[in-house]
Amino acid sequence: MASPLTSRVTRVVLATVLGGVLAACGTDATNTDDKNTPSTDVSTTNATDSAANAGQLATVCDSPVVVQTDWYPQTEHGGIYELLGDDYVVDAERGATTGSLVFRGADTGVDLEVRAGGPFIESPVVTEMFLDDTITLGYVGSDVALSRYAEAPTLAVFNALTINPQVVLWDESKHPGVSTISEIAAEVRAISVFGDRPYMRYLVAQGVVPTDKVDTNYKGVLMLATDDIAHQGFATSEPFRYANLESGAVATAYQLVHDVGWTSYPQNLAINKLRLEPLRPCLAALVPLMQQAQIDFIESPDRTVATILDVVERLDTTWSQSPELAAYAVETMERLGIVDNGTTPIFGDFESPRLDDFVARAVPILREQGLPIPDIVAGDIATNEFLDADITMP
Amino acid sequence: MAVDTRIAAQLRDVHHRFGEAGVLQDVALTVRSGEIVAIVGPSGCGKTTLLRIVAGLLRPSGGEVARPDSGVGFVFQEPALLAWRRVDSNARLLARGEDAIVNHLLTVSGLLEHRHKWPHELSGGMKMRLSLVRSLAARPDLLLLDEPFGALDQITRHRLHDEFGALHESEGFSALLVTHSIDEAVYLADRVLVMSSAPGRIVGEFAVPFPRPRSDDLRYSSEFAALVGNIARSLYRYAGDA
Amino acid sequence: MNEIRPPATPRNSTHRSPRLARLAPPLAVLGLVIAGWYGLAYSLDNNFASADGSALIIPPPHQLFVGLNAATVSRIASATWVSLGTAAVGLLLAILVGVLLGVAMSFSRSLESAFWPWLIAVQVTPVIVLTPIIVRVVGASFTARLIVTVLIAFFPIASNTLFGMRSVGRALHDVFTLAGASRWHRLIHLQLPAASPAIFAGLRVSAGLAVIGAVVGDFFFTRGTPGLGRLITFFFQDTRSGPMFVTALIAALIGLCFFVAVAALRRLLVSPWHRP
Repeated sequence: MASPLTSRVTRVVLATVLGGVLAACGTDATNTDDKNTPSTDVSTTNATDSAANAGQLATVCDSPVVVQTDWYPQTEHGGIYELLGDDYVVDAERGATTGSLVFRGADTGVDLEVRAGGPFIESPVVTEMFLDDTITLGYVGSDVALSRYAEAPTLAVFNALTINPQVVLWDESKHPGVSTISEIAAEVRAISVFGDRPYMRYLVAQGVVPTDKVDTNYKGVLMLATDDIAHQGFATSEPFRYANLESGAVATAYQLVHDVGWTSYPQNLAINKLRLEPLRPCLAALVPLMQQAQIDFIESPDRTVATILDVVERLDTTWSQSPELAAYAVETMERLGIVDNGTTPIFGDFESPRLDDFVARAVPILREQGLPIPDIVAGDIATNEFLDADITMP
Repeated sequence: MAVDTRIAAQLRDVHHRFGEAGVLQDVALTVRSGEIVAIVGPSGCGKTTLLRIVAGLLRPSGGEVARPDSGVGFVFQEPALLAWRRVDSNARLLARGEDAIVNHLLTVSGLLEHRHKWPHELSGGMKMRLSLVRSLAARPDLLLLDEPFGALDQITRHRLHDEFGALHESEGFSALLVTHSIDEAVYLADRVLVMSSAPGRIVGEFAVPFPRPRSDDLRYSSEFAALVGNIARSLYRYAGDA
Repeated sequence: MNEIRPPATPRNSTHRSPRLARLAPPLAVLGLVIAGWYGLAYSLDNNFASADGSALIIPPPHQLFVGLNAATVSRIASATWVSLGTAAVGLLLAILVGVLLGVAMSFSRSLESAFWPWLIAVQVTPVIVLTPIIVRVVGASFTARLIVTVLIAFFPIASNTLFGMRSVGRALHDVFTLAGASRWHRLIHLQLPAASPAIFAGLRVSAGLAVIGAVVGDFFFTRGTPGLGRLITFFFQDTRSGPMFVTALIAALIGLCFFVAVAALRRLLVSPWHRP
């Protein structure tokens, strides 16, 4: 157990260092930040455009730009915290972290407020985006966007995670040789998930998981060691947590829900669609910065990981993160293509056949749950309009 | 103990204790067939205990008790009706199949027209009549009555006394009546026994010479008053601190 | 001067429709509740900031049924069926268990002293919090739902049966003793009928508890077809406040139905003869 983990960590470090070098090579000359040393590399000329956008942000965006995330600060949110200047302050009461919106060391002149989700909000993110006018962008998965389209239509302008890190995982030692959700469903007592999730409905509808094996009791507790179950999790988190359990390491195996066909874009930055017109100029300037920031974060995560760990500590909740977990998450996001260009070279875009297929697949499942979804197409819930087509992950 | 057919019940040398306290001591009494015997005594002298011993509801600490093989009827201080049964169903509770008798008893006690009512719809007197009818429907050779008229107003009580007398005339049962009313004892009984308290003993016996059927006028006669007075004096002599 | 006036004629309104007079106060309260509901719905910030004008947090009464499409109705129907079945079967079992325990304890003082403290312990324990453990042991089956419901609901019946059985007067017992009645005969014809008003008083409480047990306990039943409790949490997670309120109303309606059914049964079996 120990040796593959060690080698994995080594690879993370390698990737991090390598990424850092690459990022350094791609940085614009106008930057004054120490860690982003000037470079003459021509492969990322787009960054120049982005920096230009950064300059005009103050003229087109209200300050602060508010991003409502879906959970406690975690590595998956790295691209947003990447844009947070070092002058940030944490309001533990509201779960809000506010600082200058800084792109590659350049202060844009507007503030960025990143809000934690989970227990800090009473309603799901998508509802909060309609209840609270101050939210500029919120994390909304494509499945949720479909579910709530009738009364709370959102428009995704950028996907921060190309592939959903959502997995079903199980104890590898108890179930040797099992590699798919379908196989593990046949072996365990139950598959534990949080609430009535659409992806599980899909797995049931596909015959991957028998309906009587679905248990909606998942509370975030690591239960594999004590119970004959499999449960939901993130590829970027739970396998590492299990491998480092104080009560003894548990080796886990998992399959991505994405690989079984639930190809929802999981963590899109979306707007309240009713506010599209007034936000249009701001989005045009802001979205390319977010694209680049996500790439920058993956390539050189250290500073932002430190920010996230600090914010988590200042929020002072039961939620915990560690540098090791963050390193594992970054490594996993790269390895599994969770943060990736996808099939087009454009980073963060919604790819046409994939999202169309997903909408066609998901709408009937969601309607079965009684969700009043009108007839919609991919273009209703997502747009590539604001993306910088030149920004790509090297 | 074999029972003389002319004797409805007989007690010899009965004594009873509740724990350390002697309740009854050396009680001997006989109820002859067709006879009504009344026991008067102060409250708490053990009258009810004695009645329960005669009924067989309580085994005495010592002594001999003879009672009819056919069982006894018992009329309690309260009507003890089954609230969830209508009048005729209550009347038939202990009856042994003979519908005619129950109907006859209901008729003579004025309950027939109320037979479909619930007990709670009856007056106190009606309830007591029903209790009496229920006991008599079993055709007992011996009827035990534990202050059955005590809770009724005087007019109702006197009316029931006469009805009881009439039933006794027609049905011919024997009865042992416990009461704290000397008037009642004299008016209803053929003999009155006086009981002392703590422990309860039979301390006097008075024959009641008045012919039957008796009527209300008897209550206002000097002979009646004299007998009541004699019994009262006997009672007070033994009443102790009560 | 002292003319004698005819007595004032009684006011017509009360005479003409006593039913209306009786219904007016509760209807007035209903009106207040609905007014308060509207007030709340329209005073919440951005409650109607949705694209289609539906409420995001609390739907006003006239919007309750907006999201009720066929699929939602069928989910609510199946959840109602699950909870109704659990509550009904659970209540029947609670009656059985409660009456048996009450009868057993009334027969034997030693049984009573052995069981009573533990029954109190079960009664004062919020059994619902034990649900996850029960589920763990028995599995998330109908059986587990029943166990939770019975544990929550049986006590008032057991205790009232015991007290009802004990309340039978000595004279009534003597009547049966003198008649040479068997224990069984005494139980069926004397003690149970005499205890029935008390049993019904317990049943009224237990019926409410059974519905609570079935619906609230359902929050913990995370597998299989959801009952009303879990469906409410699902609707809550999806912020579907209309269906959520409708589901809650149905839970209340089930409770009301149970209450009315017990009252009707009592009116049939006990009220005619029982005067408290």
